[in-house]
Amino acid sequence: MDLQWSPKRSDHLVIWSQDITLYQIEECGGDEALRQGSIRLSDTKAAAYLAKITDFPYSKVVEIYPGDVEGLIACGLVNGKIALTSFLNPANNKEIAPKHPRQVLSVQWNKLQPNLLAAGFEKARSDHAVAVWDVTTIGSKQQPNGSSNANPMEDVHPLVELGINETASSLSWVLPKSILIGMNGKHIKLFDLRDSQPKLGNTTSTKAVNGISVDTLCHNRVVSYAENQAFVWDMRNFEKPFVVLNHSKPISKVAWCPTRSGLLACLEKDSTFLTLHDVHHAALSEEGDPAVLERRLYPAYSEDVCNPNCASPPLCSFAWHCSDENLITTCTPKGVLWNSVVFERMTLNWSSTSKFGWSNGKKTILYIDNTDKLYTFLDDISVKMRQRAIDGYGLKTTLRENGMVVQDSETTRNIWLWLDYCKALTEKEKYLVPSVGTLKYPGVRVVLRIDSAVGAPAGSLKSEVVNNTSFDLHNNKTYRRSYRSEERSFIQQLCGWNQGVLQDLQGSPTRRAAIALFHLKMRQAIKILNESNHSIVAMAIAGFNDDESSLWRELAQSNCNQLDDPYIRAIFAFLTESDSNYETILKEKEISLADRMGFACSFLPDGKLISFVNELTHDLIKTGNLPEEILDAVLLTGMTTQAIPLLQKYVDYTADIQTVALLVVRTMALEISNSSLLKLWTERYRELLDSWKLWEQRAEFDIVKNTNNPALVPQPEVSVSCNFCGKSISSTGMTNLARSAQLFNRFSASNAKLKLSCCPSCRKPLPRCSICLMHMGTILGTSKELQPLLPSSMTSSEAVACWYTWCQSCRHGGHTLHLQHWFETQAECPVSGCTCKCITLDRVVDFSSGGS
Amino acid sequence: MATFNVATIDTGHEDMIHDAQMDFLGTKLATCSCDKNIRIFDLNVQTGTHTFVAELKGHEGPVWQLAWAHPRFDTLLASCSYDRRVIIWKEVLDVKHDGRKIPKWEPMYTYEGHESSVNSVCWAPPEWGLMLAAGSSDGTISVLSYVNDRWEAKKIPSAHTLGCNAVTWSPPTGPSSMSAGDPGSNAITTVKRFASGGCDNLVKIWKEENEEWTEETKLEGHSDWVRDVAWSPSAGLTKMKIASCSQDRRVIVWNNRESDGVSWTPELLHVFDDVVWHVSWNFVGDVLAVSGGDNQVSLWKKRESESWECISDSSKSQQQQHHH
Repeated sequence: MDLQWSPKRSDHLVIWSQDITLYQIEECGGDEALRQGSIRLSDTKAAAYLAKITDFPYSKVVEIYPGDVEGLIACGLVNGKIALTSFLNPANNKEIAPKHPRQVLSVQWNKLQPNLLAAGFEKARSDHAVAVWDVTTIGSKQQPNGSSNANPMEDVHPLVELGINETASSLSWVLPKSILIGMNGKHIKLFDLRDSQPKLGNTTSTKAVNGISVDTLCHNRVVSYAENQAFVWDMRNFEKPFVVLNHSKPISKVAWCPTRSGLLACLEKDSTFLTLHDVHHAALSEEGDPAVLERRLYPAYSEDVCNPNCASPPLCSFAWHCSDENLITTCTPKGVLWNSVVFERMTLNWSSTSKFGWSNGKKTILYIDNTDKLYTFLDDISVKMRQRAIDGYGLKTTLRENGMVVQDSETTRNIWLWLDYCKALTEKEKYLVPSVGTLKYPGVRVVLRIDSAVGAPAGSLKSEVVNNTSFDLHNNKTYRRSYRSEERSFIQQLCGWNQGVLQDLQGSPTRRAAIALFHLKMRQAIKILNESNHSIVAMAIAGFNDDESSLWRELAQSNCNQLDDPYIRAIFAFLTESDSNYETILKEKEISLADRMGFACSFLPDGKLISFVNELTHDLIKTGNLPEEILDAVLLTGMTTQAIPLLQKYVDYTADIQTVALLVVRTMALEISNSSLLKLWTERYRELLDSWKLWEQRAEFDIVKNTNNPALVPQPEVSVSCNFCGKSISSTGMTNLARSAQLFNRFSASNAKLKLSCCPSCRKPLPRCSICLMHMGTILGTSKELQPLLPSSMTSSEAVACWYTWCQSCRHGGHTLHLQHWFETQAECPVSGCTCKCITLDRVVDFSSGGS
Repeated sequence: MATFNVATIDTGHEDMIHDAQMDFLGTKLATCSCDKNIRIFDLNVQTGTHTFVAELKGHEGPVWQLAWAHPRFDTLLASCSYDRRVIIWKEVLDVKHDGRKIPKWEPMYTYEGHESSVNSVCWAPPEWGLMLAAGSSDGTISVLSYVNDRWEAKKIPSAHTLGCNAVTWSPPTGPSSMSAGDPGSNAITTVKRFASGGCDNLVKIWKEENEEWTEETKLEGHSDWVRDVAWSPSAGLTKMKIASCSQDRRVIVWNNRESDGVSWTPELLHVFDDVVWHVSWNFVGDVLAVSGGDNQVSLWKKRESESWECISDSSKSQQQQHHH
């Protein structure tokens, strides 16, 4: 069984074994049933039966006519005859018979001159191995009335005969007028047929005489095979093959891909796959062993075509599609066909702007950008960041408003809200807590004077000890010791434990109850629990007994760990004082960091409080992993350099460089010049804004950054210097002059802005405006001569109009307004003799439209 | 499965496209092909349209890869080819008589220091200056840098036996080991590094030391040619990753958990059914795109389970493409 795709009709496929059958390709979904006589080719395509030729059983070789006659084929028969027949009219066929009957080994139409047909034969005494016919001469003898049907046998004389007493194992046309023939199992010979007398061209001695085939996309490249080896030849250098492709089994067919240069498919006998060799680049190589990329192609049959549990059937042949890119169809002896596409190296790139492009086939690029749904699906932070940047994230006046931009992320929102609160609190209370100093966003550590390196200086905290009568109950004998200082109360406020906290408790009922209890308000705690659905817990607490050996205490202690709610566990741990250091509460990760900190400030003595804060910071920096844990820890460090490792962890976890950069410029801009990390973050974010083309946001970001840290304002890149002395006439000169102006201010009649018309250092005049000839620095409109030039609608006070500007190329210039008017009608520089076309040199500024 | 809203560009190349690169702003696309040419397109994201701008002719063989320099260095495009050359193209504006400005591309510099096909080019992070690495089939890697108005080349002689297929630069991330608030550390003191992959089945990491490039680490894990390497971009993150793919059908992600640039632990992402040609990270560095011999693009993301999962592949969109 063998097959060929039609060179003219891309949807026609010819298959031959016993009969010769023409199929037409049609769409057929994987779940659709096949029509009678159809063969499935892929999940989407099937070959539908069109026509059949039964007159030439077991044709050895078949080739579809490449010219404009549809359905015409040439068949080489075992008996040496060559039949020209058509699917459209199978009865109307021609036969060409050689003098001596012997097997036809190959037939091939000349694709560039489709009237030429070449055939190669077995050896016969005193007959030729190859004959070439002009089929039009056969056609001319055909009678229009069809009478030739009676005698299809014709003695058509070949145009050319080659190789007397030889065997032509295979042949291939090269361009329109040459033919390559594999002869006698020994040679490949090239014949030039341009003259009436064929001329022998290059030859080579090789056993590889089978399956000669010229790469239609590179006419010097030829393949042939013998046994286990395929040879690729360059016809210009026929001495030796430039690539030898070794196979483990004998080769049965080779063919070049017609849509891709240098791609060769090889089939081994009884094998279930094709081997693909890419010799394209080998062909270009000049020295050394050319590298040939080798791949195997296994037909990926669908389940209904070939049971995936069984071994794939061996293949008997294959054919490239003539126009569909890299499409190859394989067939098995039982007639199972399958389409496969040989895929090329596919490029793929994810750009820094989140555009993602890849190649599709040979010449097409596909790409998506971050507005694509895919990005939402990927949950890519860059999409979120871009949207937030557009929404003005980080640039809103108050910190709180910025939190509102990131409503969708509770953690991120909370840090802004907390900082906003922290700032307000600090402004109000900083006088009470000297350790805060000038900081606007102090953390617990700052308040307690804990330095990251040194730790807290001894005795820095001196708290007052308060012995409370327990829990506002009348009958208690014991008291609970707590601690008080300005620092502690400041920290508690940072934690949200304000004086008024008990009036406005937030969160779950158990949290509210616990906070009330930690403020020693047991009645309130019981009330809260009773009002929610925790009355059982309320009852249990109400039975509180501070007798150390009481049954209540024993039970509460033993059952405490079995409770689910962390705040209820904390309530019992607190009441039973199961450990004097309150470790069960302070290490309870399910209780928020702020609540634990608030609690510690009430009940831990000075030394223990400081070591608790130290341990906590250390733990969070070391092991804190979730973004909420990391940002919560800012409570401990404040927005000081101690927060940098935390922020880095946050970036590592979330890749949200935006939030970090914005927090930095809003709250710790002064540290930017001291820390390479802070600089890196802000630079990365600026770069991001640039790549998103959010220029305004980028400018505003810079303004915020530089306002909060004026040291970051970049040095001016352009300075104006005097033509004569070379000294700058701006900045320094101006300040000096401004100072002297201040000195003499009282002599000055007006407070008008001082203008220069000469160099402040050498007193030489500044250049003149090329239109009005006044010196630079002269205020426009003070001179009467200018007036005619000014349009009536425009007042001389218009700011830009009196700025001095000049051409970057010829260095001539003048007042902006004057030049604007000049160039509305002129192309050349206003300075006489200068031919500079100043106005056309600047791509960005469009004066003509600007002046109108 | 997300549906792709895919823009299609018919490049007009006469043969196989080998690379397509967007510039920093995503407004320009450069493609290169087996047909020896480079083509430049302007992209309009809003309308999804594109305009052909220029064809850059100069190479004498297939052009393998392209790289846009950071825009702070003007509009520069580097290309490498089978013709053993690296060309750095510069966009200049040609002023016409009527004042119109026509962008024109000119070769600014041609590097001919390789003895065989140059397979890969990649620009260093702009923080390190205008610097380019190029890997060649002659087994060497060149690092070209623009210093004092001229190009200088430093060569790593035998980087990969049988040839180098890909180069990729480390991002300029600051070291995490730096103590917070260290007042003296004004400059970012990172070591300059890049990674390369080659026909010796290795991924190698190179660092600059005393103005020379020396091999720092050798990553062994592949059993066939390494086809592509991609250093994860840094969005300010300190944890670094390198993805490598190979003809052995494997994609390996190399993790540098200590952020020291030295110790890398391999993690097998997946074994594919066919050669893996290319790997590329998204901006955040948490999604890896992979293209393979089966003509599929697949996207891989690390889930909480700590294993890489394929979250999307192009097989569906490909079929849709065929229907059209």
